[in-house]
Amino acid sequence: MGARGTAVAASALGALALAAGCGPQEPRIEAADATVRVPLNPDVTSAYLVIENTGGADDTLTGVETEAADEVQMHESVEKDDGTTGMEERAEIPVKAGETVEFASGGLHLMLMDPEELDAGETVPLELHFAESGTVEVQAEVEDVMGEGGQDDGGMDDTGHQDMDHEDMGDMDHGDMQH
Amino acid sequence: MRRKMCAAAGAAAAVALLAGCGGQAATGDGDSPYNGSEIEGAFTLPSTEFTDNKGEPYELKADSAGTYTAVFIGFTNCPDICPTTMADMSQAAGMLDEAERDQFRTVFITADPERDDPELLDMWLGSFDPSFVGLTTDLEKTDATAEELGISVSRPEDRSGDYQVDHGGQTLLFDPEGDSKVMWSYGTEPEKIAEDLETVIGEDA
Repeated sequence: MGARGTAVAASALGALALAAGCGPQEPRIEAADATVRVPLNPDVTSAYLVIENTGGADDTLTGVETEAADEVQMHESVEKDDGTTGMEERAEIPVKAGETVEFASGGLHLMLMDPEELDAGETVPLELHFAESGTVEVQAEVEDVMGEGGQDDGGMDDTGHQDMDHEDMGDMDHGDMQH
Repeated sequence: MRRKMCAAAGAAAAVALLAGCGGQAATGDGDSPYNGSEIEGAFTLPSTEFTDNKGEPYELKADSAGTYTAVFIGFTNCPDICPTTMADMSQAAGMLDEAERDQFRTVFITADPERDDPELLDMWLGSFDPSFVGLTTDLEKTDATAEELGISVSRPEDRSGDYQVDHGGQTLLFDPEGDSKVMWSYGTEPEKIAEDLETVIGEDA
């Protein structure tokens, strides 16, 4: 599982690097570590990924599509003044030159409306539409919410993405503590 | 399961959340003996009638009596915060020893009873932990319960299409008498929750 996930992620990363423009004054988009949660409620699920712009110009994520869901919305979980946590839809996400944008739980996330039935371990393609770079595709791995879709084997850490070694990644390895 | 907040930011957010709670009698500050915020007796479980995820009646205070009960209010169409919190609670419970786990229960109250029926709650919670209890009742009792627990809930007027319910992201822990003990803000690490559970359960052992 881990080996396959790594291979998929690595090849996707390579393809994206080639597909994106490489001039110094152009954005260069790399997307990696994409995951989709197994839908728990048939109406909706979430997806997460990391987008990095290693180029020399800004870009903007303007929308996301996937064959695995009717619609993909870009949302951000925000804490509101009344103490509630809600979600705000984002029409555009800036990905400035040299910046990394992380879609992660508690912040930005993709919301997949009316998703297909998805099983842990499958991959689904996400099409990321950028204002400058056009469409960038990334393969997202379907993961169980309890992390049984490839996290407990350290799959998140072996994708070669240097930004992924957060201190909070420690909690990715809890899979084996479920007993 | 990746989290935006690191541990330090999470701790800071716990304090910020308290400040944002509009004068609720929460006392969490640097003196808290827990990783979460101490809310000793600030809230009491109300004696509200719900239906649980098996379709059986569940009176919140009476049927939670005798166990330490963590209460979270959310909804199953919530793609991010709610599943992450439930997964965290399940992981935390998994870190307890059997004797501790026997004294602990997680209760999920839907803020969206118009869509979340017992069957859907049962299926949804089963993805995390079959022992979790899911509760639903009418809108009025739901909102009254949320208010009693100091958890804000706000749903749109127009609930015809896909809609989202705004809700407080905190989880409250109650003692076997139904009095509040600890509050964990969203993003509290499962280890921290488990540590607090061990502390609280150990206090009375």
